[in-house]
Amino acid sequence: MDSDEDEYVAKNPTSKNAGKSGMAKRTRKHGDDDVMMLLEDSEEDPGEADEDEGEGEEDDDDDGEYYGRKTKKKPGRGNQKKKKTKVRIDDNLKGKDGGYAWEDKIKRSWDIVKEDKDGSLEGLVSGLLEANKMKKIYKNVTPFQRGIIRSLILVIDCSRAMSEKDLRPNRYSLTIQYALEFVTEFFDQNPISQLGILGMQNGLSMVISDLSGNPIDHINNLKQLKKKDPEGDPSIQNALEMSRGMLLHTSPHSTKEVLIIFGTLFTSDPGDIFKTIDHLVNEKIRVRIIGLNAQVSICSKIVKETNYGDEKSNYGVILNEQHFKELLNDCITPLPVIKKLSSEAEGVQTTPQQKTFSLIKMGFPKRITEVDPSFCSCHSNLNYGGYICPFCKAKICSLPAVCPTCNLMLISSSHLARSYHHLFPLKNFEEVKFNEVDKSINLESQEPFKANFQYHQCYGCLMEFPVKSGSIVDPKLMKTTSRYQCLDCHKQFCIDCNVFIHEHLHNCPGCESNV
Amino acid sequence: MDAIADTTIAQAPGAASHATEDTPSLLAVVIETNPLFWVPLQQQTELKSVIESLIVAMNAHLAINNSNEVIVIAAHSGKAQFLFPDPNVLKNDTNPPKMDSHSPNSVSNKSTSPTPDVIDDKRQYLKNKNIYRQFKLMDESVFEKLEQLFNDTVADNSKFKSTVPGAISMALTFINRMRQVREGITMNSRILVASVGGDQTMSYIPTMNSIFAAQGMRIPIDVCKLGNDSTFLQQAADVTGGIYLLITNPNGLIQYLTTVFFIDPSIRNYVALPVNNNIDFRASCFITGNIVDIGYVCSVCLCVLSMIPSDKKCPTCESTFDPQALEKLARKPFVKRKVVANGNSETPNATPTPAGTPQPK
Amino acid sequence: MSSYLFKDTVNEYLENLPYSMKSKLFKSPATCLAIYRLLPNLAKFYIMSMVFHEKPVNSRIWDVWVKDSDQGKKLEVEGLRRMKSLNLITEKNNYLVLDEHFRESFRNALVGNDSHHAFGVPCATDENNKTSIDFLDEFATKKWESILHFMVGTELDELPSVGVLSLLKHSGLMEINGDITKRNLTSVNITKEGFSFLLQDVNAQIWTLLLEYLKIAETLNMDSVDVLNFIFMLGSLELGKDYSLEALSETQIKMLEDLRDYGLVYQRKASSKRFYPTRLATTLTSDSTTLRSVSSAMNKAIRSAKQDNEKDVKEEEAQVDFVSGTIIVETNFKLYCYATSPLQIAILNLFVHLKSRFSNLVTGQITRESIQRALKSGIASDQIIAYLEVNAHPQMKKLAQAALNKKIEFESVNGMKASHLSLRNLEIVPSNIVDQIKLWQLELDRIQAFGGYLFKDFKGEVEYKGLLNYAEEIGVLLYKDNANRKFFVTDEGRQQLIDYASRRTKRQKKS
Repeated sequence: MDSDEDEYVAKNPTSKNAGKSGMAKRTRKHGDDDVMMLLEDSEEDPGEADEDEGEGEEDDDDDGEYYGRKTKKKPGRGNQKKKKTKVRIDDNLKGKDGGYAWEDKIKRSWDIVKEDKDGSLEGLVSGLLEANKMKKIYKNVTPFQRGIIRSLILVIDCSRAMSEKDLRPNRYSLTIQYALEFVTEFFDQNPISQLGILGMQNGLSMVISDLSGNPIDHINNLKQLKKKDPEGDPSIQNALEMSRGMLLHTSPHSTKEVLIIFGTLFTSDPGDIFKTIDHLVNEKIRVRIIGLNAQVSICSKIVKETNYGDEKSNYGVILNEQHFKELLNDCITPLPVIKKLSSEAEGVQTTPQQKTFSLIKMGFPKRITEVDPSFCSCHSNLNYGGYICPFCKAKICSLPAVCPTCNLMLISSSHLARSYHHLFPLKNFEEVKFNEVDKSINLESQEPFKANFQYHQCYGCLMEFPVKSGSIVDPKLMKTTSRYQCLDCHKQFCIDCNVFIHEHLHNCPGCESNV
Repeated sequence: MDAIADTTIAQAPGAASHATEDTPSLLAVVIETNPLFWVPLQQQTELKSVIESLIVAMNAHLAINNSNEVIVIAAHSGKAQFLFPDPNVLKNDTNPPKMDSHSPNSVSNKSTSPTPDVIDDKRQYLKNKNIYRQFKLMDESVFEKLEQLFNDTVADNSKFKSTVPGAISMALTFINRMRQVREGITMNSRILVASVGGDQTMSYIPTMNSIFAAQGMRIPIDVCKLGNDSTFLQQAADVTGGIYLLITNPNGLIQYLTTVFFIDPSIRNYVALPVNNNIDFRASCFITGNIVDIGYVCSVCLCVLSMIPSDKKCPTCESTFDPQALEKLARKPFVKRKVVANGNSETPNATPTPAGTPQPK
Repeated sequence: MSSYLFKDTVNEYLENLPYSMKSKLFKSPATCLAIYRLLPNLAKFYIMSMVFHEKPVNSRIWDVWVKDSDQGKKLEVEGLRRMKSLNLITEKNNYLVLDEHFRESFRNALVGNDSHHAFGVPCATDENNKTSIDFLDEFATKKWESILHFMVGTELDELPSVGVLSLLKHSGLMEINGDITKRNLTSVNITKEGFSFLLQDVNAQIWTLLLEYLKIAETLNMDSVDVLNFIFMLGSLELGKDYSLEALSETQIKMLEDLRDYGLVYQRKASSKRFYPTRLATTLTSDSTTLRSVSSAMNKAIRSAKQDNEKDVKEEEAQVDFVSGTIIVETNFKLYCYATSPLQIAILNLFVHLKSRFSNLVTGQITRESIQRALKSGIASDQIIAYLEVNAHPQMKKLAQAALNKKIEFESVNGMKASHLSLRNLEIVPSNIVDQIKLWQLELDRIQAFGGYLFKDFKGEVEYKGLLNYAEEIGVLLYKDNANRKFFVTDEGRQQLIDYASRRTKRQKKS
């Protein structure tokens, strides 16, 4: 990946400088940046976290060579001032012991498997399974301000590299297949958002589907795309410039995002991509990239620049099909909004909130049915019924939409409601400890003890918990009680319900039935 | 070869489609039993007769197919509870809801259970009554638990919040479990909600969340509404593809239950369902609770407001709004213009004339 | 699919009963419930909506209820036909009336006002040493297996009872020569019917035998209504409970003895005053889904029994056809089956070219020869496919389910209508195998005969098209020849078509 970058730099010596100066500016700004929180009681100060990232970025500026140099110097300076001269290791590369990840001891996946005295693995295996499930649902539940109203441009690589068959049936088909699912899911979760789709082919960028809020159009267009073959080289710059154009006229309270699915290891651009990056930064367009091949330096730069230094969560390279899907799904959840000062270049200090905090006027139409068909004002189709704009009384055939007559944003209340669980997330359940009821149990001692619990069954599904009250537990084998407790209503749930409740339901059955 | 290609021949008599049959189905019934809500309905009907009708309907559901199952959840005042399967009684493995394991220990020490002899009498009574065993198990449990529920809870006027969303959530978690236990066996599921309370008693967000979860699991929610119409439940039925019916004459309830609410998911594709086309998709204001058709939405938390809050702060997320923007919104004739102009800067002239400003109802 | 075979045979039997007997049957709630369960789904819906509705129903209402689609119309016609032929409903001047006896009994079953002891009388007193469910399972399995073993010709220590032997002979499943009553058999041969019998699932097998039993019972002057009622009642009893003989008629008590031989009921002693239904009996009126769990429960019983006395080698052989989910079929026609029982291997041998046998596994190949040999001995291709499906390894079912889910998801993403989706069936056995087996059968059946009526000499294209479309819609069309304006419909379809034609002409006259 380094060689890619070097090659690029060699071709564009000026661009490197331009990029650097832009970067320096950005880094300076970081001190003021922070993540907006709705509530004060968050566990860690996100501002600080951001600063760390900022510093990390400085290190990163010069790629691998930088580290090389520093490491060589280490023995000389290390003895005098231990604290300061300790090699600063990028979080990405840091291993468990504090050194580089590759210096860690080898951990084999089978090392953790230990049989109990009967030679059974059951307790351990079920524990591992649960841990796996938990990983899935553990998320930060601090209510962020999220950009609920989004404008996203999905950029699909349609270049020659996409005909590779390392994904089945090939990269191109799978990507379009996943993109279809993505579109459906995106509008399911972000009903009042807008989506546009671009393709990169023959060094050009082509519009596959215009920016709109109607999933059916996108799906039809993507299906059309499926019939074509990938060819030529991709150009990220062209794609980004076109995205900029498409995002230019979006409403001010919406986020501007670009998601690139990139299957190539290079980009063939007509001009200076670093300038484009600067433009993106200025226009607060955030770019996410999913790589299908290997990490590409220019991609990580784009992502880092446009996401305030947060590269890790926004640039992913897929490991397999499943991981590809997961990365795409990550993009469905709205991003936390990062509050920032308006561009310094303008030199005008305005209060930051103004842009994002406002009231939006919306109409909630009623659905009607008619005996005789009439034309709808959006597509001029004859149909029996639809939605009536409460403002101008025009008939619309589907929601959400912008009324073509009076430009009022029309939406149904259930569309809004779909987004609420992002804004008011359900608190994570806490695992019940063995000494929940019987405080005398010492969990540290490795002696078997008698477990004692308040509940016998999962509140949600009535399944009995595997570890029964009154049974003898050996802490060496039984790592988990398989009970998870809601912190508000103190009802206990099994792992499957826990996953289901947090992934799909977003309601605690206990709390809701105890009002 | 030709014979197979010729569809007319291939679909010889007797080959009538069995495709729709043979899938067992699970019916989850949510009954609202909060006594407070039943008071206004006293003139029309009473809880007891409704429960009786429901029981017959559930028996009918079990009668369709040997592997059909029923779960019953009561949304009582202050708590929602499973009536069947009974969480406290150990189940032998012939009972419909087969769980992984049931230890006999679970029966023990339940402080709230009534005196044993009362139950015994009842059991004896039901035992002598000659009735199909699947029905018997369910009916017994429902009556017993209901009685227990009413004995335990004192009528409490402060508990006017409905637990229906909680009960639906419980039904969903239970169905989710069943789907995991029965790997490989497909099972249709649906939820029937018998509700009496109005919209104002239900909390909005949990209701909506459970509706969307049901939609995601392809579980239709049928609503048998007594009393007044409920917008939330209408939406529930609409979103999930269920049936909503406001029952004005509860005396004929059993007929409704055995016709409209009896349509099994497997034949839903072929049967014309009663449709409710004029559904109110309007939202209610977070402050006043009024229904709004043109409202303001906070860009941060999406809460719906019917007017601009006086303290210029969002009542839900407490973010301060930009005073300039609010000022513009407050100047009524220009409200529209401003918002639209932001979105479509090229066509500011297309905005409607001030005369068309919304009339706040 | 195989469960339909039994449903169809039972239905056919019931449909052919005279009305007087049916109305007697309708007096028992348990029988009503069982008959109800055998109906198609749409018919169930119709019946249920009429049970609490006293007045006759205009037949047009059904047309309104059912959506205007080909599939829906076919289901409706089929449902109505079944209800009519069972005499559940009668049509008078376009109004449908539900049979009064049926209405009353069925309502009683639902509401629980029953005075007929239709659901059995449980013993009031507890027996000293209760019989466990595991024991019942073991008992049932053993009895039933011995019959099947006898059929495939396994060497048995003890021949099945006289009743069983004569039943097998009368039903034409076996050719048995010699004196049955003295158990002095000269030759025993399985027939074509016997082969196809072996491939059915347990439930269908039991029903086949019970229906044969009914025929014999009639000749023995046993009251068929009593016999049927008892069979249906068994289906609604509770496993593991003991029931008293009190409420049973004499015929029914006589039956107990025979049923004991089939493993349907258990009595400690022949003179005992109580009986236990076994799992075979309690699931008589269930469908395949429950049955699958039944067979697995059976397996569990067997296995636990084995653990108890591991040294008993006889028990090892007891693991017979109740073992479900052991067959894996690959797309290359190779078949693997985890089987130790000679019975299952013998059954497989009917249509598979078996290659090698290991301690717990047999492998084989499905070939044209092996299938055609089976077909020639009287086994239908549908039976073979059904057998493979029912006994498919759980892993195959899982894969099929996953594939189906993927398909549905894909189609719904791509905006297909929900109505199309539900029609997708689970493909447990690879579709190329299924098609090939069917094709092999077609090679043998060059000619297929259908009884029916030819319609020709129409007045014109309009009339021809109108009637043809109707015939197609209700699914009775077998053959059409557009050029010569002729078409051929099934026996059942004829009357409907004539009705339709006369209605048409009337309408035309009016206008």
